Amino acid sequence: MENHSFIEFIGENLRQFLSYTGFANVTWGHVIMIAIGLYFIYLAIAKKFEPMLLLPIGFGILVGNIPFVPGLQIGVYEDGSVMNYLYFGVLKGIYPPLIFLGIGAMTDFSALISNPKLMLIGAAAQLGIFGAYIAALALGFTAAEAGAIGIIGGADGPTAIFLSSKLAPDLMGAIAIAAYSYMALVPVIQPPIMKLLTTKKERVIRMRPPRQVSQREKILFPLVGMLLTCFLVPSGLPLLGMLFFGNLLKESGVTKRLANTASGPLIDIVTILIGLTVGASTQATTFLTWKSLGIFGLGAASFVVATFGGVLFVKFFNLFLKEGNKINPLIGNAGVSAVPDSARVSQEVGMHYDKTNYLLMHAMGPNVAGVIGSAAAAGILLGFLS
Amino acid sequence: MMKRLLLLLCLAGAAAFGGGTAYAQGLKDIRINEVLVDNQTSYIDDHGNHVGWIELHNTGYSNVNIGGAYLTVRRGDATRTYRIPKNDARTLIAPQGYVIFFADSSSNRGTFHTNFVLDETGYLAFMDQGKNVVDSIVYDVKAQLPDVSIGWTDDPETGAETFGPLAGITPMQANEIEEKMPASEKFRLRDPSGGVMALTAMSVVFSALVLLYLIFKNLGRLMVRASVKKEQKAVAAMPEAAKTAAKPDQELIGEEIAAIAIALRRYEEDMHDIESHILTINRVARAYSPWSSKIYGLNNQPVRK
Repeated sequence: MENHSFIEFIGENLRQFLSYTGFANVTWGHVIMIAIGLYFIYLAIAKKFEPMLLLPIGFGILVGNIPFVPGLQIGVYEDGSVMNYLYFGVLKGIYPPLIFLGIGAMTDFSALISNPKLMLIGAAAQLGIFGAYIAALALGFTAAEAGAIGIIGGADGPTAIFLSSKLAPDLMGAIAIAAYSYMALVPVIQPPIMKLLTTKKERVIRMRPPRQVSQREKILFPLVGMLLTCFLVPSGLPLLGMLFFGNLLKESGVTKRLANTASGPLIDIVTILIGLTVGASTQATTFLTWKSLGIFGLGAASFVVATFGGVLFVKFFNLFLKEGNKINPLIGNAGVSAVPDSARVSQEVGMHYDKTNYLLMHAMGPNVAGVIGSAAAAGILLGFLS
Repeated sequence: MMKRLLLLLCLAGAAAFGGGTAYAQGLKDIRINEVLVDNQTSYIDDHGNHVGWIELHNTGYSNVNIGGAYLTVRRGDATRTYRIPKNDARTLIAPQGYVIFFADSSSNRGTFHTNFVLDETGYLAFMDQGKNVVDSIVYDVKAQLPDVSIGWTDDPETGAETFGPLAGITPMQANEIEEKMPASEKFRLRDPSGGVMALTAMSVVFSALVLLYLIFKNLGRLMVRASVKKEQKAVAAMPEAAKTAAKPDQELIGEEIAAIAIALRRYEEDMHDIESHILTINRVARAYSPWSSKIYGLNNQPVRK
């Protein structure tokens, strides 16, 4: 009799244990998301598409989609869980400015300083952000959601996370995944548009080599850049301030250790945390919605519009430039930021038509201007819509 | 050179300021948010009385201590001007916080009781320590209804803030009882297609980068000019023979410099043939740490003695 009740007791406990396992709670949503996570990991390892981002995000998707019974303080959305504490940095917009600090500390703005007209390309490519904003409004998204979706066109992951955490936290997972996916797909998305919009003659334009930039100019750039852009768009301060601060650490020449930390260990740590937690935030229940599908569609459209904007602006700008001073329109795509992938695309497409025409250094100008432009655009959206 | 740089920076600063208003923090963040002149049955003070009250609101995002500031219903009249005590911790208003003063002409009842009442002058001002008016309101005493407060609220039509009778009294909280429409949706109502936003934002992004472009274009010119001047000075200080060698028409072009650099490197590599055979013996040592020590990490075999 006692043995019988003991077996029942064990059986009851086993049943309870089984009800807590992932197998008992799995849904098709979880399976789909785990497949997406594995695909991201595959892209990162086998195809080497933005591995530093896609690998942590891919693994984060796996972490976020392990089925469990709510209330155990495990999930990223459960108060008090470890993942929730780590996610706090995303939710409150702490990680993106730290990443910008690192980007600033590793970016050389010489190309931009030596040929400052390239900055305007960085502004033109922000057209994608506002094109997507208009389209998102037309599709029925709220204004705040449309602003957060539009920023995907800025092709800047940290900026997208920062803005969506402020304007539409519910959509942040989908927006971040879309932004990083399209950034990884820059070599696939941009070349056909660049080829479509340019003539053979334009593609082989040789640009004047950039002049040497003095250290004084390099030091002045972050100072003037920060003061000017942040006075104009104060809401962009967290991103722009940190970007220029990081750059000053690098260029001042007296804080090498700080610059090395910001551009090395710090950005690595934050990239790991942001990637993992953003990935984990894509729980099937919150991610697999029609809205997410819309976000992916709009994100792709915004990348296309941004590339159009950058390339067409260079063509337009060339109408006013003298022969010898003209800009190769193949660097127009680099205005969408996505540093340095879009600049690399300019170089590769340029080399395809003229093996001795090196566009990389020139493309880095609009590329870093794009970072400034997208952060400023995020500031404006935040100022208007929050 | 430096003067021109400074001038340029000043111009940039002036452009960025654009003649806009500058906002100081501190007492200037305090405003008279809500006032109830005729309190018949509503909010009760800490002595159990229904008296008129004044709600101050810290509109800023930092703590503001109003100790030492003044509330008055008639400027220059000491009997109707109340100095808020300095040594009371409760006069520190948290960011976006509120504080209530009871206008019962009984300042001996505590920090939050003024020496005036509200149904006399139809004027109320909050002043800083120097008695400069920070915020003031004017109201018609006779028009005040029992238990109807006046205060700042958003106009439902235009969204603009107006001062007037409120739908209900809201001491120690925001005056809007109904849920506020988010700023983003207000914006959408005015700009349903998003075109205005796109135009405005693109203009701002362009202006920021155009300003940067103009500054660095001119800065670049200044730098190039400065380096040319420096070069000329250096050439002027050279002996005649060296000057002839440094004439512009005899300057080396990039390819020539590259060829010379390669030649020099090859020459130096040749020079280092012998050194490459030198063997250096370094002592191989691992830094000791108890965390990686095998002594602590492994169980020793028992040894029979």
